Amino acid sequence: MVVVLWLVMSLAAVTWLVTGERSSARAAESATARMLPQADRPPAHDLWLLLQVPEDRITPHSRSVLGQVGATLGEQLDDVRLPIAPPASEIAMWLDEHLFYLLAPTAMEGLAAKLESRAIAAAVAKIRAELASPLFGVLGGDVRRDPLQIHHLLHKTPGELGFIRPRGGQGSDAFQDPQVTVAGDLIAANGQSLLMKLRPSDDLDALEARAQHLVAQTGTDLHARLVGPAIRQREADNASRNNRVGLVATVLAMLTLLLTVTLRAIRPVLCMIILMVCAVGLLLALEPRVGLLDLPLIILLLGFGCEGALHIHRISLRGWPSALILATALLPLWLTPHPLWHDWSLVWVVGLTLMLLAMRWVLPASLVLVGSELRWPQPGFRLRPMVGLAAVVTCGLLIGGAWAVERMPVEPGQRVALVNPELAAAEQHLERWFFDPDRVVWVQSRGETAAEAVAKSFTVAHAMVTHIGPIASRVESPGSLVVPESELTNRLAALKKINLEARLQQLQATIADHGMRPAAFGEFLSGAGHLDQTPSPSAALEGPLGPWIESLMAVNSDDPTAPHVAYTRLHLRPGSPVPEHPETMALHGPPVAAGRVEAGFESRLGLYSLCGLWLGALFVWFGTRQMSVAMAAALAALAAESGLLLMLHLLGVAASPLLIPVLLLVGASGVIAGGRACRSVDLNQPFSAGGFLVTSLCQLAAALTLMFSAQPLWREVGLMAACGSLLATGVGVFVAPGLCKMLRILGRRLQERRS
Amino acid sequence: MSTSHPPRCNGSRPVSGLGRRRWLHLLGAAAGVSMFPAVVGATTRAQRRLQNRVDLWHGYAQRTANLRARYQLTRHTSIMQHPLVATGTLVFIAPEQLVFYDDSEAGSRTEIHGQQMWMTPRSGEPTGAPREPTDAARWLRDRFRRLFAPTTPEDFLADASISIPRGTGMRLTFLPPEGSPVRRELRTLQVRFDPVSGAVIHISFEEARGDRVILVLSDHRQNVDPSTLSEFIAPSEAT
Repeated sequence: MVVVLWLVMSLAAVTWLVTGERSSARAAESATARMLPQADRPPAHDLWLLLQVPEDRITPHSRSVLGQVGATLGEQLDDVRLPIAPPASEIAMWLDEHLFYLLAPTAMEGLAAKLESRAIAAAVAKIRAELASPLFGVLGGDVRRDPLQIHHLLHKTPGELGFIRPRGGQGSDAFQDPQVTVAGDLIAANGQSLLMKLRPSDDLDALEARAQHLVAQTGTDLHARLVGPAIRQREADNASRNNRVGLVATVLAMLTLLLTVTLRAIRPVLCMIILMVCAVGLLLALEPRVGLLDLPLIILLLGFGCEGALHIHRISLRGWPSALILATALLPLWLTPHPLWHDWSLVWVVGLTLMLLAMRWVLPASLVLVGSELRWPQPGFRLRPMVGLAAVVTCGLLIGGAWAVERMPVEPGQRVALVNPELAAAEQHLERWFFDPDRVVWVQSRGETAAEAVAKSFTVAHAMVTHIGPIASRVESPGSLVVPESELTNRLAALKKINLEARLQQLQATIADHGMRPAAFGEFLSGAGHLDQTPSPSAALEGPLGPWIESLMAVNSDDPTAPHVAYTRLHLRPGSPVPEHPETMALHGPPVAAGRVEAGFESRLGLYSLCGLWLGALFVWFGTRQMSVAMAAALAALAAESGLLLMLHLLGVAASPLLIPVLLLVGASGVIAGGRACRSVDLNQPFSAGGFLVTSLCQLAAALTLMFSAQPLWREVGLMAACGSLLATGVGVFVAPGLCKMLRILGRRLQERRS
Repeated sequence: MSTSHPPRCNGSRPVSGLGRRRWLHLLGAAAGVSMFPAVVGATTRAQRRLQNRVDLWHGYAQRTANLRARYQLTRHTSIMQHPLVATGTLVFIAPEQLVFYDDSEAGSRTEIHGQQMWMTPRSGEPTGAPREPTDAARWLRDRFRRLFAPTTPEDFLADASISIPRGTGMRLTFLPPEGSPVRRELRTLQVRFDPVSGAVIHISFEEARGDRVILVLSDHRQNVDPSTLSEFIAPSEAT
């Protein structure tokens, strides 16, 4: 009956998985993104097309070829393309038309000084003098459009207008800054690549194939490749999807081999394996998201789940403390800031409960059905508590762990290394020649309408400019190029105080006096003379800058009163900290989340570990009602965790959030091993070393499967789990009894002193 | 009655065994062989003309430790009501210092020193922060330096497409490399050498904005006493 019920449940789960595969495909997305809180995840609209000249085809013509292909491609991809920066000609026109309005109130004094009679005379005389230099055309700047160099007041800080380079004055702060094309794409400073922004698509493969087909049609050798967080996610999901069957099959094969050799029977082992598969199937029916970071935990679940079937020494009479310890091993993950670990703190409970139910409830019934039984080799040895060895090993490991954890570099674990050299090369190129998407933080400005959101980003953009310098390299914001209605009145009043019209007339007269033609400066004079054209948010949205502003906007229905969101993006320099910011301008982004992870990571790691050990010790105490056993098991597990940290440090592995679940599992394993060893000594029973080794080897089999997998991330988790499971078993068996005896001696002496 | 006819002779077919097509092939081959020396000659003539100009320049430039010459600059620009004409003194001190010093106080002093460039009004401070160079400014700076410096012919011809303009005179045209961003600012630069001494006597270039600049050099004095150049060098450098 039990077996039938179990089989029906498993069949239902398989049916659910097969029919729900397509609908759950989308849910399987963003496994790596789930390491970040929702607010700090890169916006979905960050998707770029990178066109690269192959290294062996670089010629002096590469830049012009890229420009031509970019222009052609931009027209053909018009339905999905967005400008990364304001197009060069549009922004020049916008700045010329609204130059005086866009000047900050703090620049008004400088503007008045530039419009004084003497300053005008000096500026015009300077132009006249420089005209006599042979280098005027290449060094003199664009005097026709800005004879008084008023643009310098607008570009006091290079980078405050994003990728737009100041005209006529100092260049951008980075010599290697990309150049904005007339369409608003970016060309790398070395002229060997072009970056184009695209709208996100549900079918990235089709979008990439379309772009590559269009590039091929141009008859050039350019390489086209999509880059961005969505592409990383696609790679991660593909890696997970392509490897999940192979990995599960490998771990099951290893477990089958191991258990068959140990139990010397094939039918019970096959029953075990089938039930484990059914348990995992049921788990996947409940939680279908199997991403890059979920898969290693499922593999470890199979390795640790064998525990339930192997009736070796029990901590209590019915053996439930070890099941509870293992099932709640990952509960402390709920305290971490990572949404993915929040999910896993509960998924692990469900998964392990299913495994244990299968092993302890369904397996005996199955064995009756197939006419077999699970015989465990009983011969063993009697453990002798070694107090001295226990004290030395525990102290050594604890000191070593404390020493290591302070020296281990912390890796925030947001950028998962993927096995795709082409994607890695493209991402490196993006970072080297354009910008690093992982170093961009943003502030959201919300509004009921798009214009209101843009108007609100005005304040944010100007506040963010103060961070440009050693902290940030540029600010991208629609608010940098608009002035809200409330501010326009103030600025117009300030301009009227300067008596702009009269000053411009004087400028014209001075130009004519020096033998120059005022008409040559017509662009400047006409722009300055028309103050009725205001750079309001609605004018910007409806004007030529509209498509660019749209690329920095999103509609979010979380807040129906203010669904429109304008992003102000701050490009942080490598290694620079996230700047201080008021609560009203909350910064978000991967660096913000990384900062939170890095700050006090060691302390929080200790907290999670202690929570796990406390839970384990509590269950051991419930099972044995002996505080010394519970304390010894927890202390031995802590020593095993410290040993793992020391070992990882010596192996050069950085501390990362990936370490947390493995550390907790090692702790749980250590508590169980310690509890069993202490109980064996207390009951004076022979300790079954073979059985105990198999338990450890099952965990090791899962770890080894990961260690020899394709993904670097899985290999790292496998290494941690392999080291940890061996340490936990060794320390639990050989150190915990000694610790238990030592604690009892200490307790007795304390009691004697008190009495 | 029988009549004997001479053998028919088809005028379109040659009497010999060679076919028409083969005759055409032979004719083509003969024409090709006869034209080959002309092609080769054309190539070698262009190379020889270029080599003549480079040798002429090199003969003069390799002796230059310093140079002083008078110049007249004419700028045709839409900014001015009439073409701007300025005169001044050009000073070059090997290996890489070049100064254009206007005679008029209303003019300017332009200096190239190594990688840096200054352009200051004569009435203002003679020194100051160097200008931020654009791609075109860098290209023009290197071109000017190579015209006067005792450098190698390879360096003299580097980073440009070279051609010899039609007409008389020992002239050379330098174009920025194809695809280079310099072409967005500079169209072409033409140089004329003195056919006897090899000194640069005429430089003209066209800017993308439409301005045309003509520099006519005269009264060249090579390797003069360095103390006579000090008035054109910025005070801080002269000391």
